[in-house]
Amino acid sequence: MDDITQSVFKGDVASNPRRVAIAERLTPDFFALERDQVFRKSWLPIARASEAPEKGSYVVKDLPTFKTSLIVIRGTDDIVRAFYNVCTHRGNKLVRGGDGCKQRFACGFHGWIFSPEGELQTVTDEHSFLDLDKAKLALRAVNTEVWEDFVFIHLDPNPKESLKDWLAEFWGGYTDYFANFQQVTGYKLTVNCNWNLAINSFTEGYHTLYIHRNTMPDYQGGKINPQRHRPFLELLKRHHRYSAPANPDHNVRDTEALAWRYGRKLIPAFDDDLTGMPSGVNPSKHKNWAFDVVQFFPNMLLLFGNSWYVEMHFWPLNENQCDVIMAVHHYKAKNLGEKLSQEWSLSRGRSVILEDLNTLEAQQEMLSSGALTHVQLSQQEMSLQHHYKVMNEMLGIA
Amino acid sequence: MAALELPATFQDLAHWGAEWSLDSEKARHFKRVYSDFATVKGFFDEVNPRMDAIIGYLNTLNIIDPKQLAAPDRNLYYLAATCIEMSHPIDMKWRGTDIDDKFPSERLHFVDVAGR
Repeated sequence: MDDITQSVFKGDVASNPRRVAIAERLTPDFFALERDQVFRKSWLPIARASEAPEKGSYVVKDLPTFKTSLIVIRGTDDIVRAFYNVCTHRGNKLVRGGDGCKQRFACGFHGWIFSPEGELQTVTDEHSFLDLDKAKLALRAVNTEVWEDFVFIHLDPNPKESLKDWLAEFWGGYTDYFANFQQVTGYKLTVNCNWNLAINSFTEGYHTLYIHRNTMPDYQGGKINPQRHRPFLELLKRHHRYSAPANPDHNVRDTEALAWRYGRKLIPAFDDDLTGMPSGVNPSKHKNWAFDVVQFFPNMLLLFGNSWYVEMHFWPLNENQCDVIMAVHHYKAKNLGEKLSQEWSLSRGRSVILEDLNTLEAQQEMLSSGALTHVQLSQQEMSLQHHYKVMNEMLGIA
Repeated sequence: MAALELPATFQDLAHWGAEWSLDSEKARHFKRVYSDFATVKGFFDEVNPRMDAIIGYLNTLNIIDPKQLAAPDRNLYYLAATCIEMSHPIDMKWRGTDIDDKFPSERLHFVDVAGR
């Protein structure tokens, strides 16, 4: 037994619920509570600062969770800000969508003009307004902070914590990591399931032996870890992370071997060289490390590898639907052979994602039927236990 | 089917035509899942043995955005990318050209990414 990988747990693992009353969480009232007590009280990543690279660059981010739209603008002072995407005159949606770059944001209704910093600059026929205070009619700002290119917003006008305090241990753990990569593909979809079920599907490794048996049958575990226990799992105040175990005996088949002849190893093969990686990556320095799964509570997952990372966002639409937004990032290819090598990994990975998504609507159907009121969670599903513990704390559920 | 314009060394693959030189991930994915296994295998078995030579040739080019390549080179790049897409059912010995249990990929919106 000494050769079998043992899980190392860090953080408060004793007080997590091992049995979760799931059916009662799938109601409209419960979702309204989650939206107001969790999502409106959390720092939420909605964009990348690099989506607005120049002064005056903007990107519109519709947030169906809140039935609203924000516009993220890089000001002429180089500060990235988010505003409600609304003209402060009569409530027209200021920019209908997309992205671009401009120095004046003109409302299409009556031509009011706002600066990239949100100031109301010009009012058409200004003198016909009596007692107009332009300073009070600036764009409605939303609290915005940037961490490692991720633009976080907080919809509470007075957040109790700064983003630095919210991210806590993560704040300095991934410095400059993301600059090493570029996006190679992305997917967006709406899934007819509760957002908790969706994010839960990607934060445990217990399913991988079964769900991925036809696509990545031996990428994790192997003889030294046949049940694929996580070698390291850390529960923080709100967030959590764990490392996935590589299989040192992974069978590299024909086209995969071709891919690694011309490019760096990517999932489902792993290179555990951590040269140049910040301290947060493979935090326990496990020697058969594959990648880390990190939940930025409540609704973003990042999967960290040494030559790739995957970004996933889960945005509830209501109690039984959510939008899932994924972006796959690889090392910056220097030639076409590396790009083709990357194509192999991203196309195999696409099938894995489609397998992961395939249980969600079936789960939703049965759990919302009331046929099962609770779900039972194992040590391998500690991340889910922790997710519901933090949710309950914010929802005021004992 | 019109022959594909390819660099001279790879003209023997030109008969596969534009429908096997697909310039988007989405097009390659649906080409695989909507084709029958024998067709996919026929394509793969002919192109795959040339992949080392194809990549060797492509790596001599100074352009790494495939959409900026000259037409014969671009066609060759996307023929190779299509071959990689077709490799999965063959290497993994699937019963068909797609996995049996999956979320319907028709509901996936593929995001366009520059430089691919």
